[in-house]
Amino acid sequence: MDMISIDGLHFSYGNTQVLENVTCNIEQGRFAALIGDNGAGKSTLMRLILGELPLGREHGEIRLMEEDIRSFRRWNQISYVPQNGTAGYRNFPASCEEIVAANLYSRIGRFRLPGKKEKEAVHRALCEVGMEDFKHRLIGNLSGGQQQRILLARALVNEPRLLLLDEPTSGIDEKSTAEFYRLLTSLNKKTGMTILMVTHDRRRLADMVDDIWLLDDGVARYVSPKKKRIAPADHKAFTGNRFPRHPASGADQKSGDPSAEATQKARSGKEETAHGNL
Amino acid sequence: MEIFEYAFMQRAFLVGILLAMTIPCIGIVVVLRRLSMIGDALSHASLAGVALGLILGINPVAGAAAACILASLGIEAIRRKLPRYSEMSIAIMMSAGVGLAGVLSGFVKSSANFNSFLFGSIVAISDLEMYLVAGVSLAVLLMFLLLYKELFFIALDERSARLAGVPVGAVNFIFTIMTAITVAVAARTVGALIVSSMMVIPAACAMQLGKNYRQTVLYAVLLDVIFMVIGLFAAYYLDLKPGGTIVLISVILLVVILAVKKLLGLSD
Repeated sequence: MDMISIDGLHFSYGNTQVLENVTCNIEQGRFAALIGDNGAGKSTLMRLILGELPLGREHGEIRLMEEDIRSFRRWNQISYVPQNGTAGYRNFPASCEEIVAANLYSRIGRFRLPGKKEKEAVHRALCEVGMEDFKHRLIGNLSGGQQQRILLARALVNEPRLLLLDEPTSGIDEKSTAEFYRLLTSLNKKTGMTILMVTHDRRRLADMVDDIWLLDDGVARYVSPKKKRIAPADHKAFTGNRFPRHPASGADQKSGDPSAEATQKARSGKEETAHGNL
Repeated sequence: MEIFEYAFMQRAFLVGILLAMTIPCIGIVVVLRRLSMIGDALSHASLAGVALGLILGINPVAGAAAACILASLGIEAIRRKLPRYSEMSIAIMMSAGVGLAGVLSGFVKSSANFNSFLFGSIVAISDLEMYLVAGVSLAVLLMFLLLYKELFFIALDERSARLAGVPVGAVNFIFTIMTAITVAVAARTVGALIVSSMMVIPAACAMQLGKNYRQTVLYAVLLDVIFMVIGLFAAYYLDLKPGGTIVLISVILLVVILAVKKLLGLSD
C-alpha cells in the first residue's frame, strides 16, 4: 500500500512555478528522504502533503493512505517533527512531559487533562527515544539534539502510521545527528512506521534510507540509495551541486562531455527504478 | 484597615484582582506565540473605539470592545497572510488605531472622559462597570481553562496541533475575541497605555520561575495579583496614580527576579 502517492502535481505561487508535474510515491513501511537544493520546492511539497495549501483538481493528485487528500481526515495518524526547534523552544516554559503529552490531544479529549494511561504513554515514548530521565526538565534547557529527541517522542506518542520530518537535524552537532538517524532507522525497522524526511544531509542518506526522492527545478526524480557506485550525476546531487537538467531540456546532450553521457545513462536507469517502484 | 472602609477602594480591589487573574492568562499565550505587542496594538485600537463611542453617545467600553475585536481579527488576518512577519500585523493595526484615535479625539467634547481611558481610573469605576469586568473576567478565565490544552499546543507548534486534531482556526478565533474583550475592559480600569504591560510583565517574571507550563501560568497569575495589591496599597497611601504604580511595581519585581537569578548563577 502507498502511504503517500503523488501524481502529476503542479503548484505555483502567483506566476512562480514551484512544483512541475511531480510524481512519486512512498510505500508503507519505507524510510524515504526528500532532498533538493534550497528553493527546489521541498517545503511547498511538505506543506501540500500536510494539507496546508489549497489543492485544486487542476493541481494534480495527492493521496494519503490511499485516500484523496482533499477528503482526508485521519490527520491524527500522521505525526510531524519540525525543523530544529533549538531557537524556537529556547525559554519556552514547558516540561518535556507536557510537550510529549500535547500530542495525545485526540486521545485525551476536550476539557480533560492527561490521566494515568496518557502519562504512561508519554513515559513509553520518552523511553523509546532514551529521554525518560528528562521528563520534568524544561525543553529550553536541553541541547539541540536532545530537543529533537523530545519532539520525536512527541511525534511517536500517538503511534502514527506516517512520520514526517522537516530537516530535523539542521543546526545539530554531528554526534547528535548520527544518533538521531540511528534512532529513526531502528524505529522504522522495529515498528514498520513509514517515514518521510526532508533533509539537506545528503552525505549519510545512502546507508540509512530505503528511497531517496530528489526535487530539482520542481520535478521529483527517484534516486536509489542502494547503488554501490554513485553515478557522477547522483554524486553531484549528493555533494550539493545542482543536478543536471532533465534530458528533455537537452542541456547535457550538447556538452559532449563523457560524464554527461554517464549522467544520461544513470538517469535513464534511475527513472526505470522510479517507475519500477511505482 | 482604613483603605477598605471606602466603597470605591473595595471595588478597585475586587476589579483589580479579577483582572490580575485574567490578563496574565491571555498574556502567557500571547508571549509564547511571540505576539507580545498585541496588547499595545489592541489597547490603542480601543482608544479609537472609546472616542467613537463618546462621539456617538454609546457606552465607550462597548465602543472599545468593538474596536478591539475588529483590530484583533485584522491582526489575525494579516498574520495568516504573512506568517513569517506576523509582528508586522501588530504594527499595522497599532498605527491604524493610534491614527484613528488621534483624529476622532478631536471631535470628543469631554476630553477628561477620553483621557481617563489612557491611564485608567480603577478607583472611579461605577457598579455597572464593576459587574461588566467581573462578568468578562470570569468568562475569559473559564474559556482559558476549557481551552488550556489547545492554547498550549498551538503556542508550542501550530502545525502539529492541527495534525493532532486541535481545531486551530476555531481556537484562534475564540482566543482573539477573548483578548480583544479583556483589553477593552481593562483599558477602562487600568488604562489603555498600561494593559499591555500587565499582559507581558507577569508572564516574563513567571517564565523565570516556572519549571513547567502549568507552574508558569500559576506564577503569572499569582504575581499579577501581588503586583495589583501592592500597587493599589502604594497608590492609596502615597497618593499616586494606580495604573502607573501597578506597572512600575511589576517592572521593579521583574528586574529583582532577573538580578537574583543572575547572582545565583541560574540565568541562561
